[in-house]
Amino acid sequence: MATRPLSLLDTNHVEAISEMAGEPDWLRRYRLDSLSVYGGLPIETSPLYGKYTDAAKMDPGTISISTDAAERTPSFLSERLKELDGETYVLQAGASIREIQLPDAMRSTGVTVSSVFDAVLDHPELVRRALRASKSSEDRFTALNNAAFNTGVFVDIPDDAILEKPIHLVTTLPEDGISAISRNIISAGSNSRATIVQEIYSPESRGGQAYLELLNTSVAGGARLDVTTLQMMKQNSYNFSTRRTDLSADSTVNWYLGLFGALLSRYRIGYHLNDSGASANDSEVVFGNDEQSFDLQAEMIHNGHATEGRITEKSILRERSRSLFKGMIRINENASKSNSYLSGRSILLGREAKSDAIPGLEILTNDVKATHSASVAQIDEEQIFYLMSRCLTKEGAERTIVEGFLEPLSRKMSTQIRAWIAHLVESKWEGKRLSINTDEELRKFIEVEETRYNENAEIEQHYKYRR
Amino acid sequence: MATENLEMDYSKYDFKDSTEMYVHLSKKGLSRDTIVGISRMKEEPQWMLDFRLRSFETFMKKPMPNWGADLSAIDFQNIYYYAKAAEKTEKSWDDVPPEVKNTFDKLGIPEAEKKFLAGVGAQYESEVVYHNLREDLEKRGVVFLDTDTALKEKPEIFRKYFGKIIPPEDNKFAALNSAVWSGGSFIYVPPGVKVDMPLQAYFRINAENIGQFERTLIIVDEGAEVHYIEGCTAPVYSSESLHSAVVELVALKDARLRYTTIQNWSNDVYNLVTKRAYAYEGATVEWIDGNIGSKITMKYPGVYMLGERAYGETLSIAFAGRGQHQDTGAKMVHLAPNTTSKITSKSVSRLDGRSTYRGLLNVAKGATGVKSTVRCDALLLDDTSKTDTYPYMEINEDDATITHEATVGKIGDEQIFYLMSRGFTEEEALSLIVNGFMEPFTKELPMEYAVELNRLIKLEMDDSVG
Repeated sequence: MATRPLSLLDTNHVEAISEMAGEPDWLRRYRLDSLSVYGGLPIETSPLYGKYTDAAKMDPGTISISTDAAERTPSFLSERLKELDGETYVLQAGASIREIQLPDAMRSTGVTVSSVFDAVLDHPELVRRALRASKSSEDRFTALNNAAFNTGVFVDIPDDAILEKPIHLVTTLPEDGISAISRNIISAGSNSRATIVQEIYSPESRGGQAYLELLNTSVAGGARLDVTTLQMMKQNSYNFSTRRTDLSADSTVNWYLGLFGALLSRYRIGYHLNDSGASANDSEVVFGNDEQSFDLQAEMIHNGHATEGRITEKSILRERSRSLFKGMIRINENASKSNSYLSGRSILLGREAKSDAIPGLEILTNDVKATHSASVAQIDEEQIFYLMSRCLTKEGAERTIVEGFLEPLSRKMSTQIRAWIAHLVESKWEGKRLSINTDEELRKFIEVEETRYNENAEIEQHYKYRR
Repeated sequence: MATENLEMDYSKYDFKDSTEMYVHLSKKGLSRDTIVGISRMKEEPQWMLDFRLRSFETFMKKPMPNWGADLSAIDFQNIYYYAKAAEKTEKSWDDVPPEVKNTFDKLGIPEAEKKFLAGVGAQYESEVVYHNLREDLEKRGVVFLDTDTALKEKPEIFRKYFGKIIPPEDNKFAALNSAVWSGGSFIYVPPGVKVDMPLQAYFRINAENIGQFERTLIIVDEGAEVHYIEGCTAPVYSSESLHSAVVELVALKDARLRYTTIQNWSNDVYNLVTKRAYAYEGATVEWIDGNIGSKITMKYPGVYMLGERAYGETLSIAFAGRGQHQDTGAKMVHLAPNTTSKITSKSVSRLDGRSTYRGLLNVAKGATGVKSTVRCDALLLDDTSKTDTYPYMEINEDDATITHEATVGKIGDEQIFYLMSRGFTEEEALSLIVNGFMEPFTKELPMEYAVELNRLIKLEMDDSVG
């Protein structure tokens, strides 16, 4: 078994991965080219963010990588998988795609769900396009992924397909302590509609496990894609994710990202609005405690005329956790009439919690609207006092305030996503295992969420009068 | 929009005089010998020479900053590092050489003097040649000297603060300035003395490729107050000039210090300046910073709040026209509890000009109860103008109240239409709106500066004027 620390990644290892997957020569060369770039890149390539990165908190000497795939699915997932029976899902455990379930109803729409290695053979053009989009020279971890990916999920939604039910991407790290380097590709054909739910877990382990992901999403003209990512890893693991989404004319992406687990989460997210009328809406919720750290970079790049972008990040930080939010709106010369919004807000619940924000703008033409804002504040003592005077405990008061803090964001989500996030927030408060199994607890949340914001027209009007 | 043909006529500022009368003109280029030469010529004490040489080593070691504007065209070996326009510092206007007077006449200095100037230290080339401090200020113990003289006459206080707020290791250009500095202003205001009129000095680069490396140090003692104004103009030359100043301010307990700059270097000057203030308990430091000229400006005036209840403010405007990059901002570092800061940045870009706001807000561990507001507004006048905002925030204490807001906009056609319906031309309407946008800045300036600034903006906006 060829297991070695990530720090000793070399040509032999990369060649071995490529050979085992039976890859064509062009892909092998692509991997080797990326590997040669990887060694020379600093941990943060952008001069803007030089010292603003936590990526160094992961020591590649402690991360084990292997050319072998995991043998079994961790047992803690069995309950969740039972619930997903009959749904569309892929189960990725470490470097192995354990299971792909594609019910007949879904199959008949023409959707492809496969491992990235199968896609190399079956859909070489789509894979090549994704590989071309994420350049190794741009980022150290993109280069790493391009060179050494040993797993990956591929989803292709054909033109005009309307998917009624979501596609679940369930990812976990294996129980043998090995990390995974995953190259995921999502492609949505023109005028298609789809929903994807991505869940990321890790098992109890001695630590030092990482899920290193590179995800390319392309959305063709007129398509609409809703993606939810919920990261629920154990707090001794690492999660690196680089995501690039390319949008064509009049397409829409809504992405909800909930980061709750892992010792270090480093997300580098970019939306490229390449043609007129494209629109991307990115909502991020972060809840950290103990020593957790969240290093988030989100970019909205407007290349097309009259494109719309929105990035909203909210972090709740307890104890010694920290978050780093690097947001950027870039409006290029041809993107007049574009409208963009960027905000990063943090609420700190512990004296030792820390949050840094860098909400940047680069505007290269004038007929646009771009606003950004950031705030970092302690939880308001007066609000706590007020709520306590109404017989809430201190923690109850804090929870209520946090709920209110997330409210503007959750208002836009579907009932299901809202319930998941509320459930995960609750689990964090209680120190419980993070999961979205449909148990008693979650049902309670769904009930609450189903009635919330569901005011009928009369009440809605009433609301307006009040304001 | 009719902004295309609103080119600014820089010949107005082109007071190019002959360079023959320079008394000392060091060789071009930077080396250990240049620095030893400068120090010898100025008859400096040994510690200053050591400081310069240490700074030179730091300069050679530090890489060029790659995170901001494009500085690749600067050739450090093609610059004069020292020039002296007249033999010694003059005290009376009558003694100033006629060439120098001629230049200042065009800048209107004597009139300003007649009106209400408290003192003038006018920098012609690298040394102050004209100096006049009102008698009553001198009697009250206020020191207003050029920095070279202060090194000789006030050695104790000079050495106590010089290079302490901005050490040469701070950045590459601070190191360069520390190695080759010459000229600049030195002010000391004794405890409790309130200087009620602004002190000002005009700075000017005149010879082609003469870098100006002035060094300003202002110390305001406990409970004292002063307002210092720095204004710059420079003639137009084809090859690039480098201006790299260091300004160090110290506001002791309960002192108030305001530092106003109107920077209008010609469009071939690299203006790379380090400005920083220490504000002690209860002290207030305000930077009022206007950037109109230069090819590239990189300047981020900072306030380090070292004592409780200290207050730091930066109010800046930037105007970026064709070929210009105004990379400016502010740095607020809260090191003590209950300190407050405010940053207001306004920029106007037109043609292919680029304005960048780059700010740092740092709240250190232990600095509880900090409040800070950052506001950036950018106005883009046409579709080739550019603007960036990079607000860095590092918050290490959980009870800080921090807000940041930024907007980017263009001038509404309705606004222009409305003003034109009231009989203004399109150009007048434009400059009226820009003036309105800049108003929070201009109202903080002394009257004659506000008038001058408004005139400059009008000039930038309207080629029929001037």
